[in-house]
Amino acid sequence: MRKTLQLTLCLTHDCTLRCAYCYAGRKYAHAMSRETAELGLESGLAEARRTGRGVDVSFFGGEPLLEWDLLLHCHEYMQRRAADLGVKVRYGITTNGTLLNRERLEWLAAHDVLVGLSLDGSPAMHDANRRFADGRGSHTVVARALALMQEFPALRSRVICVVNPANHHWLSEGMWWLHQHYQGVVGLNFDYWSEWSDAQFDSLCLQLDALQELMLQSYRAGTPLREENIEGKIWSAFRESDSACEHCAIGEQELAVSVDGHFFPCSRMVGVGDAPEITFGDVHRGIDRAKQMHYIASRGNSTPECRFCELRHRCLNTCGCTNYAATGHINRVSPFLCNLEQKLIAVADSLAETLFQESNPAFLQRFYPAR
Amino acid sequence: MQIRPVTRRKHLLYPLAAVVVLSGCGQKQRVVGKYPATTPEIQVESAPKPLEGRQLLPGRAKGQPLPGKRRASP
Repeated sequence: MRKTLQLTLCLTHDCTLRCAYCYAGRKYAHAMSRETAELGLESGLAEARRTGRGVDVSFFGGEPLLEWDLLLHCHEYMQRRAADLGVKVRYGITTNGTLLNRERLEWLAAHDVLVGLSLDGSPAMHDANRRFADGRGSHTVVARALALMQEFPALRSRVICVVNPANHHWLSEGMWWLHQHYQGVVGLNFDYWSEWSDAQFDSLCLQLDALQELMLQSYRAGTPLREENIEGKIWSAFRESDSACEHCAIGEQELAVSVDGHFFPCSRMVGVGDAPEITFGDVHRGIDRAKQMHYIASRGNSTPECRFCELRHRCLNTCGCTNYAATGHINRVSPFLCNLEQKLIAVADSLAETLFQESNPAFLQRFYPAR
Repeated sequence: MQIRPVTRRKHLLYPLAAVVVLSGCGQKQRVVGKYPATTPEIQVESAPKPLEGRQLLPGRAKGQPLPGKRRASP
């Protein structure tokens, strides 16, 4: 179980882009008020103190950099209040990069804010989905932001690369582009909201095979291409005996505050207004404990086929938001998730076996560090 | 597409480097690989702390009081 509460504030519903796969729905200019933000932070602090945890505050949207002044206010407010209450806080932001500039990066680096940049690899892969409202692709602008980010060695960062049926054909090309332009960690975010046909899934598997080969070559060259899912599957083999709920603590360690102050159980489930089937309270009334207990009681995986699967402890089958996106239930697995997880585990194991047998120095250093 | 549970466990050809805590004895064991062989070698990472002052001393039968320790008077 994580030791921190993941507190996400959706600072605005507006965005500079109109990505085809955005699950946040139609965009409109509606920002979080200062009062709502402060109450949301107070709710997170109260919950963290109640459970003896620290807080990871994440600024989310829409595009949170549209509300830069509000972000600065939230940071200043949280720093002061957390110091008063003795709560440990870390910060992060998820941004599309179109509004990143030198001044903002300097501030983010100086205040140790983890920057998650959404960039879907190569120009073709990225621009297949991530476009401005006028239809222009955004790759050129975001690639410039990525280059600028790397002028700040102290900046903690990661790149988030979404893979969906429309752009998966470029996955290996996109990952190679990222490897050429970025030295940090890349996280593939597979789109569970979309329908994947059998043919598209087969094609995705070929791309993952190609990615495995790229990672192999990069390790052999001494400059590993680091991808979170595949590295995570290698680590999962090491941690197989851990509880199945390690991946997800929905309703307990996640608190996402929507623009209008409603509590959602995960940042990937945030919508607009009160959605009674998934919200559990708001910043004015506090957390609805009965609904929270319902989430805690029903999370996990109730899919009968998974019960005796040998890979269940290495699989994302307990991730509530992923299950919700694909099946409408936080504890029901979709066939796409099952097949994808098996493929990722196979890729990870094959890569790890080859690199281990070759005694690859970069691999051994990463996964078997000297004691 | 269908859900396809895996019923047979694959034998991994890379050793597991997990740190596991064994219940009951407080020992941590770290499983590390012997290169280039693939057989895991288990090493004890930290031995349990001795129970200071409560160890059985040589020659003392179980249940006997520690030397120098008096029974409380009634």
